Amino acid sequence: MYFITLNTLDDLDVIIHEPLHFDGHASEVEDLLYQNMWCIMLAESSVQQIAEKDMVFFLNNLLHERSRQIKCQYPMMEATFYAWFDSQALQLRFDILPGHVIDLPFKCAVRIATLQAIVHNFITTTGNVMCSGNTMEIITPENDTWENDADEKEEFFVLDVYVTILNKHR
Amino acid sequence: MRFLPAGRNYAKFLPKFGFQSIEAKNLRIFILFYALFLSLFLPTTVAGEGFAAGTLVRIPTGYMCIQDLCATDEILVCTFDDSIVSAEITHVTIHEVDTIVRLEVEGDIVELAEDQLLFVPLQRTWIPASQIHEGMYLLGAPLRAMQVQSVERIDQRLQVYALTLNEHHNYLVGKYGIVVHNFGSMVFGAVGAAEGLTFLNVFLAANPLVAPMTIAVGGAGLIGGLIWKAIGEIKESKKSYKKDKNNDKSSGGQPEDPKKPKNDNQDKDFLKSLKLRSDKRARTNRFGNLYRDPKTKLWWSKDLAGHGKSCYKVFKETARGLEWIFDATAEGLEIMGKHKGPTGLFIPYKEVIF
Repeated sequence: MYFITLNTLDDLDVIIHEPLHFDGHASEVEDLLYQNMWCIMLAESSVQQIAEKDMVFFLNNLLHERSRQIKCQYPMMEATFYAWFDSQALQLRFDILPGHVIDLPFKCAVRIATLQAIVHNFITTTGNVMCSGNTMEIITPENDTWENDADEKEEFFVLDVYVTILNKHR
Repeated sequence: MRFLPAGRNYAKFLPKFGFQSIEAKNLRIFILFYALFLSLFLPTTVAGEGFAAGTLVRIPTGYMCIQDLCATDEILVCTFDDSIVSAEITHVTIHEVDTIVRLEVEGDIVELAEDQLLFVPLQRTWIPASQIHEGMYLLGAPLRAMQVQSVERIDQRLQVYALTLNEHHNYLVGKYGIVVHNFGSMVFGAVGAAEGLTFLNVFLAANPLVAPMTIAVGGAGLIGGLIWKAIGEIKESKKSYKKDKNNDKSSGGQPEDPKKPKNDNQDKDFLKSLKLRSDKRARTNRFGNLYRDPKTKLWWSKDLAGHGKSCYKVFKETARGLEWIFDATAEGLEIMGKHKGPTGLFIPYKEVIF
């Protein structure tokens, strides 16, 4: 798993040039999930400068490059690319898993979305939080409501995810 | 009528044993010992199927090492009609073999027992690994032929793992999903029957007077073997259940399965402990409650998406706001990553209600 904080669009080059890692063997299966995963954050200075269309353009380039890498390194193998916006960490995340993954590795419900929708959510939410902050209510033991820490309501969370198959044979 | 008259060479009846000459008396003794050997050891010697630890098995979320799978886990199987579906493991059989076959298929290495059956599409049949040779094609998922690049036999005593499924009776191994037969009594029975018939042919031709006694001994041994095997399977099922119950991850290499209650329990235990020791709580509109650990001063919240083994998001307090620092597992361990640029992103304190 790699993290990067974007100051300018040029910072994305490092992602494009990173080689694919499908070396999962023996005890490394768990690591397959994190071998090709990237988490992109926006620096405060870049929030107003990075446009949605630039990010979509980058991701399309990335898909093209990853398809090429797979064709070269693993010509007979398909791979599943999926991207989502992590609203808690304010990160655009994406991952590539070998094979045609039917059931994505999330604990919540998943809704298939377009790349544009994911990027829009990432840029606008990050921008809003940077500008307006995150509304929080702090409770301390001195507070009357401290004892009333009822368990959080298990709300049904649905995550928007973009999914595509790279090097698809059919 | 006299069977096995003296003075004749009976070596031709037992070509596979490579004897130059066998006399009638010796053949009788040999047959008796062979019968005893078969009846006593048939269940363990024939069941030489399975894969070495570390072999990848396709599961709905990707791959898992074969040794990490247990009963009730779902894995992917081939339906032979151009589709892949999931099926449930009924039990995992672990045993030792003396010889391992190492297959290289499209750059991927798979180590398996020599009796393990693989599907050969050109012959439309299952063939044991011992008969696979370089250049042959195996079936990969979804329904494509994959050429074997090299085959190596290694004489090495090794533990192998074989899976039995409730339906479809095959599963997919290796990076490219080679279709392999599941481990089952059908295979055992068929191989055993073939061995038994070969033996019976030779035996009856040799001396029918000893046949009833040997058949009785062999039959008793076979029944004993089956009971032995059944006990082994029950033990294995219990072991798998126990492994499942205790959430034994020591062997590593397993993505978290959100459907398993064991993780929920771990998740709840950690959260419960965190709630008890927290010195501050926060409620946010966007992602629910956060709890501050008084020792580390880090804030923890549930990971809503829960990608992979991530269960929590962890933030640190900065002068300007809460800054996400890492994702954590159900046990509260950091999921390590590598920073490729400047780190950190703060959530400003603007409009924060204290």
